[in-house]
Amino acid sequence: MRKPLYFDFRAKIVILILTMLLVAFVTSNIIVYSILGILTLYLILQGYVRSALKVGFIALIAILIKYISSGKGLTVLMPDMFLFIITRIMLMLMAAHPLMGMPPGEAVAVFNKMHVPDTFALPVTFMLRFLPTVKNEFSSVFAALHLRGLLSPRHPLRAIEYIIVPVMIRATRISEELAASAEARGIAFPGEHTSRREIVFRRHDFWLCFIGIFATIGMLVWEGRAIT
Amino acid sequence: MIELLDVSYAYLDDSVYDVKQVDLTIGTGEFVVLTGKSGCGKTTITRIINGLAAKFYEGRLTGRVLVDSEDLNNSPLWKIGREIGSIFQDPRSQFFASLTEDELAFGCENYGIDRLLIEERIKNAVREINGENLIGRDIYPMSSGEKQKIAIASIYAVNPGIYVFDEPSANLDMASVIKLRDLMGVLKKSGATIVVAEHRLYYLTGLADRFIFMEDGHLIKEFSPKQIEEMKIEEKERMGLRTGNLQVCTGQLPYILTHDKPSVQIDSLTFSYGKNEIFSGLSLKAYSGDVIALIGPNGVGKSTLGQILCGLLKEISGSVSYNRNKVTSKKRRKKAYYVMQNTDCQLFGESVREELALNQTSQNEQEIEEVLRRYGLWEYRERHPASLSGGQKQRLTLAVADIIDTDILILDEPTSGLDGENMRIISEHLKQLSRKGKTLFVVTHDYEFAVATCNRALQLLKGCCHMDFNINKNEKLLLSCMQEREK
Repeated sequence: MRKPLYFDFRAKIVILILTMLLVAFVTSNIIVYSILGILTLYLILQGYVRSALKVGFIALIAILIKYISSGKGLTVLMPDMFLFIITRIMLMLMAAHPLMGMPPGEAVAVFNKMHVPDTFALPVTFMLRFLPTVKNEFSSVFAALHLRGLLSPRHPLRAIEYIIVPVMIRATRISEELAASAEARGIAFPGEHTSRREIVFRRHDFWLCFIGIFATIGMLVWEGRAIT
Repeated sequence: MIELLDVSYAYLDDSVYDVKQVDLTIGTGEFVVLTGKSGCGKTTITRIINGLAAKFYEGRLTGRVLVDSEDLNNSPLWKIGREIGSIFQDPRSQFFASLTEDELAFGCENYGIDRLLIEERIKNAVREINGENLIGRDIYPMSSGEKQKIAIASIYAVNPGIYVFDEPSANLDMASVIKLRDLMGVLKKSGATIVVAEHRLYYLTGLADRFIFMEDGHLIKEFSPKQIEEMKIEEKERMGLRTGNLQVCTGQLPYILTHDKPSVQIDSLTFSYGKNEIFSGLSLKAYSGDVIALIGPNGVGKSTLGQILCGLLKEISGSVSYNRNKVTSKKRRKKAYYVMQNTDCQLFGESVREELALNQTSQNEQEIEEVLRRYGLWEYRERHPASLSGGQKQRLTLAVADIIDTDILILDEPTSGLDGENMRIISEHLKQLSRKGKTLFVVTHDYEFAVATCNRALQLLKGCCHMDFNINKNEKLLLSCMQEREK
C-alpha cells in the first residue's frame, strides 16, 4: 500500500472548520452523503482505513434505517431526528479524527508558532488526548450495567442516567489527573516550544485546503439551489 | 535539598487540614518513602513538594517549602517541573501522545529543547530504562507496567534532580513492580533525590534510606528499612500497613470444603480475540467454598477468564458447568457476578443505600441495613458513592455482590491501591463469603492478600500450560509464580 499522507496540523484544522460549517448549513441528504464520501477518502488517504470503515459503516446503517422506514425512523427508540443527529455527528468525528491522533507536542508547538494564546491552545491540546480515554470508560460502564441487570429497554431514560453519571465522574477524575501531569511537565512554559516532528506547511497541505474550500463553496451553492 | 517548614495544607472547599504542621528535610540524593493508611496525607506531601497542591489544586498552604533554598511559592509550575519530575498513580491518565517517542519527547518539547537534542535525550532515556522494545509502539494497548515505564522515561528525558512518585505500584503486577524497583535503583544511582508515597513496602526496603510513617496529617515516626522488614504482624496491623517482607506472609485456612460435587466445572475452554488466542484447552474443577487466586502476568487472560465465567464473554469452544449443569454465557450472567476492577464504573445509585436497593431482588430494608452494617457502611448510607474513599467504594461493590447473592463470584483486583487495613478487611469479607458456600475467583497481583485469602491458585500462562495448586504450605511456589516475568 502507498505510504499514508501526513497533513499539517493547520490544514487539518481548516478541514474541521469547513466540515463544521457544512454540517451547520446543509440539510439536503444527497449533499450530506457526498460529504460522507469525501471525508472517508480523506481518512483513507491518511492511513486511517479502519476508522474510516467503522464510522462509514455506522453512518450507512443510519441512512439505511432512514430509507427502510421511509424517513420516519424506527418507533420511539430511533426517531428520524436521532438518525439525523447520528449522521452529522459521524461527519464531525471523521473530520476531527486525524487531529485526535496527533502527538500533543506538535499541537502545542504549532499553536505556539501561530501565536495562539495559551488560554485557547491548552484546552484544545488537552481535548485531543481526553476524548479517546472517555470512550473506554463508556464500555466499562456498559458492562457493569449489564451484569447488574440494570439495562432495560423499558426505562431508556433511567439507563441513560446510569451511564452518564459514572462516566462523568470518571471523566472529571481523568481530566484532573491528565491536567496535573501536563502542568507538572511544563505545558505552560511561556517560552518557545519545539517539536520532534518538523512543522512545515507543504504543498499537499496547500492543495488539501484549496480543494476543501472549493468543495465547501460548491456544496453551499448546491444547497442553496436545492432549497429554492 | 527539600525542606518543609511548619507546612499545613487543606484542599479547596475543605475545612479540615490534610497535612498538619509538618517539618521535613530530605537531603540531596536521599531516597525517602512516605507511608500510612489511606487518607493519612502522604499523597498530599508529594503534591506539596511538586507544587501541585498550591498551584494546581489551589488549596490553602501555610508554612514554607524550600527546594535548594529557593521558596517554591515564587516559582510557576512549569519551572518546578524542570527540577522536580512527578510520576503518578495511574499510568493510564498521565500520557498524552499515542506513540512512545512522541510521549518521551513531550516534556523536552515543552521546554523548547532543540529537535536534535530531543532525539538524543529520547535515545538515552530508552537505554536507561531498557525500553528498546517499546520504541515505535502505540501506547494505548500497552500494559500498565509498560505505560509506567514510559512515564518514568519521559520524566527522565527532562532530567530533573528530584523525582516524586505517588503510589507508583498500585496498578502493576509483581513482575512489573520488580522492574519499577530496578528503575528506581537506576535513578538513585544517578544521584537523584527520590520521594515515594506508597502502601506496598516490600519492594522499597532494599532502596530506601528511611520510611516515614504518617497518620492523620502528621509525621509520626521514622523507620529504617531493616525495622520495616522485621516489623511484627500486630504492629503492622495496628498501623494499617502492608508488609515489608513478603517471605513472612502467611494465611490461616479455616475453609470448609466439600469435595464431592464441583460447583464449577470448566472443560477444555478456548477463547481468542480475533486471531489472538488467549487460552485453549483450559479445564478446572472448583468446589463450594473455594477461593481461587487467578494469577499470571498482565495480558495473559485472567480478566478474560473472569468475564467468560460471568457470561460477559462467550467461549469459542469448550464448556462451563455450574452445579453440574452446562450453562450458556447468557445464563451465566444470572448465576455468577463479576466485580470489576474500576469501582467508579459500577456504582450507579444516588446514595450508598440506594446502590443496594437498585437490584430489585432485594427491596427488603432490613436486609439492606444488615448488609451495610456488616460492611461498615451504615454510617455512610446517605452519602453519594462517588464521595467515598477507595476502600469504602471497594467494600460497597462487595456489598452489592453480596446482596445479588450468586453462588459464583469473580473479583478483579479487589485490593489494588488499598492500604494494609482495607486490604485485610476485604480479605475477611471474602472469607465470610466463602464460608457461606460460595465459589470465589479472585484476579490478583497482590501476594500478601492472596496468601491471606485464597486456598488455591490457578496460574495462567501464554498458551495452554496452566498450573493449579493448593496455596497452603506452597506459599513459596505462589510467590515465585506471581513474580514470574512474561516469557
